[in-house]
Amino acid sequence: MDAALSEIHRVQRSFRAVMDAMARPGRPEAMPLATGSQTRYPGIGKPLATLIDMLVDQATTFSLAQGCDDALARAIASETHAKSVMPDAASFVIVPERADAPCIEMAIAHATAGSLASPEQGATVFVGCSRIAGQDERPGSVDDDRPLHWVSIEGPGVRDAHVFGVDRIDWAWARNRREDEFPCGIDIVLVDGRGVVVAIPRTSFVSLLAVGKGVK
Amino acid sequence: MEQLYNFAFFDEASKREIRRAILKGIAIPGYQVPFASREMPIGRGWGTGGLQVTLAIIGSADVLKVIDQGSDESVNAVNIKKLVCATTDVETTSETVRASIIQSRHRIPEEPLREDQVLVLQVPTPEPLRDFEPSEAVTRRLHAEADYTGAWLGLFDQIIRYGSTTTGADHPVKVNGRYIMAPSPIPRFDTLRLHMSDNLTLFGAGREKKIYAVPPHTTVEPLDFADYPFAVEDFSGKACARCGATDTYLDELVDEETGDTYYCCNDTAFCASRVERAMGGAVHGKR
Amino acid sequence: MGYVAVRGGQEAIEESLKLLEWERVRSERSVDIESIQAAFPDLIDQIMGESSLYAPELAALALKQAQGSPEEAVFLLRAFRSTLERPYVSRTVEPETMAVDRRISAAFKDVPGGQVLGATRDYTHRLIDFNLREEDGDSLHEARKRLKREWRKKALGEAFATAGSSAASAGCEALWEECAAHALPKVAEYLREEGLLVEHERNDEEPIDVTMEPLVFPAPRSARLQTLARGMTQAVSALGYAAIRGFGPAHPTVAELRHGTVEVAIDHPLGSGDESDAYCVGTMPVTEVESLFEVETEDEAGEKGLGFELGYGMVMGRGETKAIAMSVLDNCLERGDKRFPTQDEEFVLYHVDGIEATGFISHLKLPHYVTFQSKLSSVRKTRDGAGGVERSSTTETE
Repeated sequence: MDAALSEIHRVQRSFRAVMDAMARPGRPEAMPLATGSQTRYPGIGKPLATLIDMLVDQATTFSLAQGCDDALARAIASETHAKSVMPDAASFVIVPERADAPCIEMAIAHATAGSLASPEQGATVFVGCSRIAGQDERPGSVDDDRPLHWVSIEGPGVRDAHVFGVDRIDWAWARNRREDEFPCGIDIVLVDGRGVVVAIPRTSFVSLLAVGKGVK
Repeated sequence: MEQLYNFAFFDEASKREIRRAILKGIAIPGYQVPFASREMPIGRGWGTGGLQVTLAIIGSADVLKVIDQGSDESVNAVNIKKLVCATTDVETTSETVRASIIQSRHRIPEEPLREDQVLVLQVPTPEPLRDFEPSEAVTRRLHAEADYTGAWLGLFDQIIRYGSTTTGADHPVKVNGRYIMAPSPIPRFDTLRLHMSDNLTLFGAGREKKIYAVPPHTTVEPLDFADYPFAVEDFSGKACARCGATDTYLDELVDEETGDTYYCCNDTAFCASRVERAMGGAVHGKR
Repeated sequence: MGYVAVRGGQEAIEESLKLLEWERVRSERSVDIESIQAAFPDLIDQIMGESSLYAPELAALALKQAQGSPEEAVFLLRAFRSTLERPYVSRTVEPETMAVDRRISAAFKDVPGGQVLGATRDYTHRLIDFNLREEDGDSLHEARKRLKREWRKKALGEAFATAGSSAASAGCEALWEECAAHALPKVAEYLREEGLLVEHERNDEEPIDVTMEPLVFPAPRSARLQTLARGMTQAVSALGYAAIRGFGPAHPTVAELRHGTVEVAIDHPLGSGDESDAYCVGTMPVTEVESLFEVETEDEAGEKGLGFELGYGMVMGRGETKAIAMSVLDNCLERGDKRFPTQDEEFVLYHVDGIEATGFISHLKLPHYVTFQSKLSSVRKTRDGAGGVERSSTTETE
């Protein structure tokens, strides 16, 4: 199989992980990542690059969280042909892992919720994280020293509750402050360093359970 | 010429567009996401919406089942399966339990679907309000304002005229307490099976250029009135002439020799597996 | 067991395909792609126009595969087009620069640049030419030579008359090959200069490509024009006819109909965006129509008067009827008085597309027995009373 074709297959598998994640909010799904190192987008890792390549193109617009350098915005614009626009006009809002709390706060606060007539224009927000853990992952398996925030998700796609751990929680505070009214809203996709994704669509109810190395 | 076509037919930009629409559809249950809808090598109105959804999500690890009117062997089902296979080379099956993607026209398989399966329904008319409002601009506004008086009045009118609601297949449903949605022309018998299902259901309307979704564990309530509750098709007292089932959606058939009416399971794969089990492995059709 | 509809689909399809192939091959007569292109240029134009894909050779191939069915050929070409990326958007094509080989105005007897009748079937007698039955390559060659000789003689004669010298003969060869192909001013400009056209602000909005973005209503004009241009030729003509016959504005006047070739150029991706840096990727034959519709105007002082609005039509190749009908419908949709179906953009734009219309109509051939069973159940319920009583076996066999 040639490289281009195997890349098409990989992107398809990554998309299915994201689709499954969106259908089951709060449940981590693993995206397969490309082999080799990612050099096209400066300052971000392969997982976030995978999401960008999967969904962002010339038919869409994007906005980078403030505080990120122009080099990354230029690279995304030239690689995907998407237009870099103001945060409130972007179909995709991209928050790299290194963005600090005020940056993510701004990015999420300003993301467009779409309109009642076109709620699908509500932004998709990619948030880079360092570590996402599933409900079943033992505390000991979390090698990172940073404590994890354990989050519970309820709503469509969830039978009772989905619980996952993530090393940053600033996105949740920012999201809660938005007070969107369904069907308007934003859809967040968290992605960690290994390519694990968790989706929090606008329909989800988010509650913080605990902070620590493991759940309970 | 064959090598000119991409994996899963589409160029990657087309797939991206459909994939974006699918994600928004899942995020906004029951809302019809507009998409450009590519021209397909099969007729508009013949399942191009479902086909575009299937091609945008399918990969080499998938096992595909395609049914039309409950049958894997129906010409249109075979035709769609053939096209997907020709461009992806995926494995196909008629066994519901083995499939990871099930594309269907007008039926949900009898076998309960699992969470690792995706049901793709082909939709001819995605707009549940189209019966009383021909304008797309107006129906979009009605959805935006959740103004569903017209839909309720339509059902009320049927009760006044005929003493019951007379919707056939495609009975309108309310999804996640917000959007009224056309569940595609599945019989009322299948409608309740969308409610809180374990699987994801994606809807594709190619000609009308809409994609929408019902995520797993999402409420799907048929529109009805407390004194005129939603009723499924009545097959009481009837059984499948082949497998004996009394709990399935049945096709009404006429015996050419005797002129008698008899019934058979509409879901042919389900019926066959039931017969097979009863016969201890051998597949037999009643002659 | 009795009748079980559409089972054994796999074998049925295979046998059906064999029968279809039999229909195609049984005459043992073949026609090559070049011959199709040469013999049916108008049909090729129609197919390419409705497909939104300028590819004469592919259109001919599609037509061959479709056994001459234009709707089927369009279908093939459109499906092929779906698999192509659109890497570039061309520069705006200015029809003033068209190399015109036919140009008529119904509004004025004489227009700047003159009327150029060009090749048209308008003034032919529709009598079957039985001589064509005997025509072959040799007789075509002869006919071609005869025409060339005649034009050369005429061109020489004119050149002598004007230049009065034999030196003119050198330029003649090129002259008759080129025919009248040159850029001409637009007739509408003449009216515009006189202030008779209703003034509009220049609209430089990025055009929508309806094959890449969903159609939304109210539709931008670019989306309307594109949808009409790729609409089914006969559907656009029929609706255009309805509009001028009584279900729309009154009789328009064709300010100008021109046919010729236009250059399509793309900017260098890293260039300045200047016209001089652009690459010409080819030329394309088109027909352009500008129609005039009388409208009531009102000036700043509230003084009422009359003026003209333009309706615009442009199609690939020589689809003149379609281009005129398109200009009528363009004007109708600009007016947007929904009492007339031809002015209701949803009515017009949703229903002129050939692939959508033929697809949905032909889908009625698919089995619908699940939905019909469901409907039967509802209908029987209304017959048996509100309770949905069990039907007796007698009603069943009635």
